[in-house]
Amino acid sequence: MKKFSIASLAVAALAATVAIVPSANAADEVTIYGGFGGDQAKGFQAELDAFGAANGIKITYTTLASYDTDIRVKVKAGQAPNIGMWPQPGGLLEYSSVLEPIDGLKSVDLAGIKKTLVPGWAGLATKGGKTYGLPVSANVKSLVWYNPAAFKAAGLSVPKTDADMTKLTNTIKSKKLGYPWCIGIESGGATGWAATDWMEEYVLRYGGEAQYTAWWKGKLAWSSPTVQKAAKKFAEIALTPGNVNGGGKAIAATGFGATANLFATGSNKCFMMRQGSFITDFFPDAIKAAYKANDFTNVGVFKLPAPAGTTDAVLGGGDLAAAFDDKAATQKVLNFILSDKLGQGAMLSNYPSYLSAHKTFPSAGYKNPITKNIAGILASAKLFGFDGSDLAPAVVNATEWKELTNWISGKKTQKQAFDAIDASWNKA
Amino acid sequence: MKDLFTALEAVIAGIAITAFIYWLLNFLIHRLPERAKKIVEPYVFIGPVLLLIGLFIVWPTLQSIRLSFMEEAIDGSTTWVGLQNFKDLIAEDYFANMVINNLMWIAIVPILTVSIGLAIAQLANNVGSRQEKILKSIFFMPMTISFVSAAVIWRYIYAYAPEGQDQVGLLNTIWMKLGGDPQAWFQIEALKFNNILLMVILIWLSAGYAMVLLSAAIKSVPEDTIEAGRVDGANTSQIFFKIILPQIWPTALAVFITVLIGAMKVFDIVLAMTGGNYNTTVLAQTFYLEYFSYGNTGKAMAAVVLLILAIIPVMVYQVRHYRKFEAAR
Amino acid sequence: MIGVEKRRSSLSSLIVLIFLAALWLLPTVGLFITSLREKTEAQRTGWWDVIFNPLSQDWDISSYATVLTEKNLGTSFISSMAVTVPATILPLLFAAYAAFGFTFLKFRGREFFFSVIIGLLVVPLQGALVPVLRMFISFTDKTGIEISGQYAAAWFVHSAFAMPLAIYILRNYMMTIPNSLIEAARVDGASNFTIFWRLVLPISVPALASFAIFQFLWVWNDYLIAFVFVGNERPVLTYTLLAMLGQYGEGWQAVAAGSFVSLSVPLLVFFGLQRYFVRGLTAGAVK
Repeated sequence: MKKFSIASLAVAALAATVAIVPSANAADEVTIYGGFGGDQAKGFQAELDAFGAANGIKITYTTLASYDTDIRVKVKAGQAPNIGMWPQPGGLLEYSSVLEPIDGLKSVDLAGIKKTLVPGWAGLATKGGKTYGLPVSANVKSLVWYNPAAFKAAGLSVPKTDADMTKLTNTIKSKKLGYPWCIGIESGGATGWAATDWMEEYVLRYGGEAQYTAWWKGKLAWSSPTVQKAAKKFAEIALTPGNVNGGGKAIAATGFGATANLFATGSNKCFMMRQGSFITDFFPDAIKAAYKANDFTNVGVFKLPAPAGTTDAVLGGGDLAAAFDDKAATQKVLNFILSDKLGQGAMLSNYPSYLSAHKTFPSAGYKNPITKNIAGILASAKLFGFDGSDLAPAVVNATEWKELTNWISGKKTQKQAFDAIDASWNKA
Repeated sequence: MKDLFTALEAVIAGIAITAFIYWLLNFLIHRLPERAKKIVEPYVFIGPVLLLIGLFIVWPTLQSIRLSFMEEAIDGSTTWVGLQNFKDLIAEDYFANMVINNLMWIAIVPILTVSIGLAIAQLANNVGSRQEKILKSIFFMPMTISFVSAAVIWRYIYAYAPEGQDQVGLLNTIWMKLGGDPQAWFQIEALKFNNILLMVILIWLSAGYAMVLLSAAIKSVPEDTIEAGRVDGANTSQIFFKIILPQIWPTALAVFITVLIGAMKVFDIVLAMTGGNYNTTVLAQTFYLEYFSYGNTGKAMAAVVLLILAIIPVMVYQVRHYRKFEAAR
Repeated sequence: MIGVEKRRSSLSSLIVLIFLAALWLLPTVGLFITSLREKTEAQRTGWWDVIFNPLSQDWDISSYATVLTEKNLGTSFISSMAVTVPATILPLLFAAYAAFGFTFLKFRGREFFFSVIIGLLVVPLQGALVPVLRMFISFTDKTGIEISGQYAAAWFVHSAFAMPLAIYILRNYMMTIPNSLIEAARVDGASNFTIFWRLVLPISVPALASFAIFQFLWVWNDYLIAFVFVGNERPVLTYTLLAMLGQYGEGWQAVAAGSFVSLSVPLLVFFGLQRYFVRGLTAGAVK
């Protein structure tokens, strides 16, 4: 017992002083939580630092390793950040009772921001006529990636229309050049999300804006003719034998980011991959290095063509920011990150794939021609559709992932799977 | 550098305070009359722990149980919904399957983990101390790997690529060398094969845990009892089953039960590998999804309450076992 | 006679163990090789190909460079240590006292308290985070003493959450200590505190060492509790690594490399504490 001397009392007293630290987060400090990681986080923090230094605000951005989990715990415990950025904005409105409507924030130029946004982005997170969240970044999904070298070697040309694309698919098969499509939807706990994108592409085109919106809001059923038509189109591409190596079973088991076969040379190669702009991060290192050095021998992209008689639309996604309080510094920072100014600083040099959701964002900023091209596709979109499953309630989103996987892998019929998705709206 | 000092200061202070609490309690108790001391003393030993557990586990658990009858909004306000959360949970189309999966996990994982851990611990006891150290570290290694990485590597083992494509999956490579066609392993539901593949991961992860504890127990078996057995002419397996095993039984039981509880609570393996697809859902994964992803606190807590109910037989058995062991000691 | 049999059993034990160890090591080796490979290669061929022709491989250590040069890593390392070391020692001390009480002292409600503790093993702790955090915050509101955001908050929580398992394992171990030993000490007039410190604690070193290893490991690899209670100002190593994964998980090779950097610490702890699993502590005491 001797070792616990009176000295330990002194240490204990010391500890008590250590424990009393003034509460952080003063008036001129702003914390932001979000899902940006790696280079994107670096670029974002650099821009925040520059803005903060000019305005006397200390801004700290923290990447949440698992946004859903971490933000929920923090908010429930009353430790919300000043600003949160949702990678899947469907979850954002769940928090509307603890968020500040942006309409009420005097220092945020809501009208100005709305005016420069690509049409369709302003109303993504609105409830009861109030805007709770607006985009800070964008990505475009209606993109088909291909390998120009492989196309050239096989004498193929880039399809301009949907009919061309079907013809191309058949040519690749009949000439036994390989497989027309590379499709993978495996993503661990989120397996199936890539399949929801395909459905969204075609519901958006067949149904137009009104039906698309009704659909992701749960007001247009999966059993409706439009969605059935979209499913038929998707199945025609993905599940027709010979279109994808291994068929539905392989689609369900292949990672969404498996790009190697797109650049392979053997008879196993596949020719087209529909995936968002972020897929460049998943390219093989050598291809990625060449791509970064503006060498496009192996990387090309075209917009997924719309079937005849449908709307020429663009599907995409992005992160949405919302404010948890209305103090002056929060408003100032929010106004900055929601504007087209974000991305004009150090962002693009750190993370070349960053896309702004503003049509006024100076395209000169995009040094990479493909990123510039994608930005052009986004800015000139006649109809823009935001990733519907990411906007739906989380439980519906997860059910879509799961049931589309069941359908594609052949565990359920299309009807069984779609009925289950429709039923999940009762749980939302 | 300032960080380092703050951390160091905090570390020393924290440990000192705790030591001081026990010292103070001990100091006070020795001032008490003998009779009072006898009554109070046990609570000095367990008191601080009861306080800690009460505040940080019992109270939140009671909250959980209460919330299983509630619906909670994001701002923390609650409404009483009675048994609705339980009804919702049981009405899920995956419910029956999920219960079967959970039963399989607790029937298979603990017994294999303990057997393998015990075998390793006993065998390692027979080899030279240098080899023992190295070998035990190898079995322990999986425990030190962060979960994300473990998920990555097991996906490489179970990976599938269609025929004619290069296989990166170890299991498929072996399977094809044996003449089979490549298989999408996680999609094989016959005999719950995909569930068993997931269980292998937990066994791989926790064998080291069982091994460390059982090895410590085996090492503490008094040498003279083993010597006595040898003198009586017992062979190696007799010594193990008749002399060593009975003496380490409480530890083996503890390991068994903790692994069993671990298997009951498993969710991250399922979440990362199959996401619960292909009928691999388990109860704790449902808790996780409902609580964190869907924000259904009530329904999530209903899953927790089911887990608590399921543990009661284990508690009863454990307490009975103690009584018996105590009487025999 | 005995010597010959012992040697034979030792050799066969070794063979079986080496076989099992190879099986157990396989996934880890796979991870290690993969962390050193170029991404395309890793997607195209199995890592075991590398073992057969290591020279044909483009080795790529850039993921290790990424991990080690990440500027927050040093701070994260200190945070991890500051959370882990006390969160290992404190619960050990608490649990050993309690296990002693549950094993060698008789008092009312002993079995009740104990079965509650076993029952608590099954509670998923993620559900307890929010109520505990709210409790800390309301404590701060009332007293002005900030707990949440300090390392100490994580120690409390980790210690409490570790308690059921620690007590359970230690009690089971202490049960195997012969009663005669304790009785003998009591007859000699030793107080319970003396018996605890001088007799039971030294005998329990193997179990304490085992638990210390697990606890160190769990705390070291945890990120949620550290994040929730200490906060984002001082992220622990695991959190930094996980955050590197980023939004779309493109950085997992950095995580693979990072986990090898990270696992070195618990592995060292394991090596360090392994020497406490020595034979004959009880045997010596009985004689």
